[in-house]
Amino acid sequence: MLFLNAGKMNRELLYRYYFLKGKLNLYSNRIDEAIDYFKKASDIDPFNPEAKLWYIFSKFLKAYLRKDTSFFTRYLTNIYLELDEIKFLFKENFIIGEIHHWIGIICAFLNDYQESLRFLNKAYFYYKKAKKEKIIDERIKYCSDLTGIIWNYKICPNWWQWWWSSPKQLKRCRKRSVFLIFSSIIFLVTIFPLLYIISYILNYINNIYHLYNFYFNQSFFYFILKYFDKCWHLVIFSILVFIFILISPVIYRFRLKEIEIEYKFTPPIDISSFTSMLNAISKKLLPDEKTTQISV
Amino acid sequence: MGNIESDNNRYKSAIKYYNESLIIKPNNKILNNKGNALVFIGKYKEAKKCYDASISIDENFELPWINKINLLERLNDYEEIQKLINVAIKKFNKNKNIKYDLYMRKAEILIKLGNYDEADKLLENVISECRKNE
Repeated sequence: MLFLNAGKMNRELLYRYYFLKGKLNLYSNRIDEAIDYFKKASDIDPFNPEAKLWYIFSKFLKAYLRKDTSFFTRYLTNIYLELDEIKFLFKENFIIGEIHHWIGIICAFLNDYQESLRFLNKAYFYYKKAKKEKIIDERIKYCSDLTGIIWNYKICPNWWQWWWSSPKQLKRCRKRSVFLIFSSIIFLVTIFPLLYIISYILNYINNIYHLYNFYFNQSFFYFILKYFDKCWHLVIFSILVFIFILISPVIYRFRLKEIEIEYKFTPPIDISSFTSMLNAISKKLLPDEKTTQISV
Repeated sequence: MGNIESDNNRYKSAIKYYNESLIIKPNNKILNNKGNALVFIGKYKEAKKCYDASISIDENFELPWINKINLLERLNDYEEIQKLINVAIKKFNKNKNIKYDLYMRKAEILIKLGNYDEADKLLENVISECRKNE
């Protein structure tokens, strides 16, 4: 990265100075100073997404480590808007995914779980589109874990929503398939007893007595009773399957204790892990070889 | 011809042309360009050798230095970059643009290596020197 002229040099040099000073301060746990330096770097070069990202994330870190709920909430709304504003600056799927992921986290902290889920789903979509890498697998896992916590413990969907409308990263396809298969089994097994029950009810409804006579004659009753008598094990099996479908979401919810849920929802963040995450994002922003290697 | 091929992303063919040209007469610029073409096809070791050869022909030609540093940065070889930058700073002491760029790179690497105090001092020195010169 050669400087072409003095004017550009000063600007670029100053940008790099502020940016590196920001990094230095962040690594040395001086978050307020780091935020100031990143802000200065970002003001010098507003179209450089790197400084902007570090600035916003340092602010998030400050809010997170402060553990002051009202301050955190106020600060997060601001960060949410800033992230939402810059997400269009990036083309790299991993970074877009990462920004959506963080907006999702922030929405979750602001107790807007539906919105959080929407952003986490988008994050998952972009992560999946990105090139396969170890760091992306880790981020997908973290994103899925958080989605699971929000979906199962914060939103607490009904049993049919749990089976049918779970987010993609929570094995939606598998759940839907199991639900469809089990529902079909229940339907097939219970259709005749169901008809029997219906006909039994119809028996007591005098005003449609003739209609009843027309559709459900003696032989049909006989057939249903025989079926119920011979296939009682199938009926019991289908009842068990139905109970399984009903209680599965509840069993799932009991898997984690409250303390584990809170730990997963607000995991302890330390500066080194946070900065290594930021460095991983920065690495994606590096120009490719064709830009850095200069030919004559 | 090598440069045209390289511009059209046909690096292997570009290298062939560079080689033919280098047989006739070794040239630091062609060696630098060959190094770049080798980087683009992922042959980093050979690329490094080309940059070294280019530097050995003309030490004052800055591009192979910068390209080698960029390559080493990509390979995360921080120790070698530090050594190279120290030599390059001495070499290009009079060219302020290159010198400041190298200082910034050195500071960046010191931060990566965890030498925060040294990096901080370096950054302050560079910026104060730059302000003096203005």
